[in-house]
Amino acid sequence: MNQRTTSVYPVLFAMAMAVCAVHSAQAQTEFRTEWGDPDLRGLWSNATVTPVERPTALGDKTHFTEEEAEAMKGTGLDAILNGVGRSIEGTLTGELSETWLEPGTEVVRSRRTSLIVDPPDGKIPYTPEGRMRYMQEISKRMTGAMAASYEDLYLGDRCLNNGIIYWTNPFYASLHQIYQTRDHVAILSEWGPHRRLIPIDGQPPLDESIALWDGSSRGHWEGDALVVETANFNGRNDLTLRGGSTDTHFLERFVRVDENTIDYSLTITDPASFTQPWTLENTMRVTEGPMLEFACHEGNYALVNILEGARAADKAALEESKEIP
Amino acid sequence: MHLRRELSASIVVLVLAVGSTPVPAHHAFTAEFDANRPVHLEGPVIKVEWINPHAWIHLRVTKEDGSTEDWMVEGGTPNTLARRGVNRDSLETGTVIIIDGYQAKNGSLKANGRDLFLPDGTKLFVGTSGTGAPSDGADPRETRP
Repeated sequence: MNQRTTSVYPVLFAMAMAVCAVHSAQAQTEFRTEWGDPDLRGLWSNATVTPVERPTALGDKTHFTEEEAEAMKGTGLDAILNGVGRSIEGTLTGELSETWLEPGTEVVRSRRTSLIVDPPDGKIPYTPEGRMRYMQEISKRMTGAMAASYEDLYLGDRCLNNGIIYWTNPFYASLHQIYQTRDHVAILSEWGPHRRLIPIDGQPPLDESIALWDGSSRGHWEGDALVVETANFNGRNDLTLRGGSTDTHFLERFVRVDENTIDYSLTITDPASFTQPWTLENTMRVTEGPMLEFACHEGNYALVNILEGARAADKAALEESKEIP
Repeated sequence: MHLRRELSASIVVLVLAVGSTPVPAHHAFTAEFDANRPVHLEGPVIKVEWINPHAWIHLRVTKEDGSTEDWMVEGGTPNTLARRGVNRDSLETGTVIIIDGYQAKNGSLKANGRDLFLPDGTKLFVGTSGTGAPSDGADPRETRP
């Protein structure tokens, strides 16, 4: 074997390894855009019957068995009626019914007993301040009768978006359309509606002095995963009852796993609201739709009705007080 | 196999009994409507507002003295029904409907429609097609991934 021959082998070996690496990468991500990025495009639903937090009664049970997961199918409406439906209003309103709802139909792909995978107990790790903020938001929704102004009402009642892709809307409209270009990913969510435009072209994040209702996102590819970081929150968005101060930071991962499925994870960091970063995982499944516009402001009779109802209650209370000797 | 089915069912009971962290979709019923003012309305549909955040069905109610009142009744989001093939044309004006619900706190002729029926007892909007079509098992929700 002469010197020229022996110098060729390392190069050939390196080339062979490179081919293997490319082939391996392609084998993991057969779903690619025309320009070669992993393909997340499509209409997806993240509705599920898996609860956000693990029910206390399940203790440290982290996963459903296959049989249990099968038994959980189609229990979305029952979960609503056992939750919100237990309240007095739940027994009165006609909305909490099979007529108007489209809850999730099955558990997440991993069969975990909660969307929250960290901390291990499956519970949101609130700080006292974070829990107080959460309870205040709950109170806003449940005591709209005392609202003095539209500003006292929950953002959803004001037809301002909440970012429902981050967890789930157990009631309806859990549809999300994902669009992609070489330098942006756009996510349009039906409920709200909620619109996100995520640059993936390497542009720097906004200066921390800029604070937005929905924060500001920057994304990049890590192998097959779209990684999105969101910060610059103004602390005024209730983020669907998940606290949310100006220090809130979101880290999301979207991974296309097969023709019908995206694995989604979200890690939330907010020292003012939570004792530690916490992570939830959900499954986005392809859906037929169609996704329909949730044009909300134009038809928002409810907001006026709520404020008028509050004024009627004020008037009734005033009249009642006049009768007190 | 029978024991495993029983155990699976019991897990479901545990999950549903406690429920998840409550995430009310939106405002409290009691912020807008009065539980102490139940109403029973019957009359022809005069208008359907197929809008968000709530659909509103308008009907004309004839009182005992012969005078009429135009009521509007709140439903849910029409997006859900639209995906099942139900749209604003599914409920034609002139169709007589019956509604049991609760009147608005502000005393106006508005109500939350708890139960919506056709005169023959068929529940409105429950079904895969048409206003009162019974569920036939082909509901797109059941086949959605």
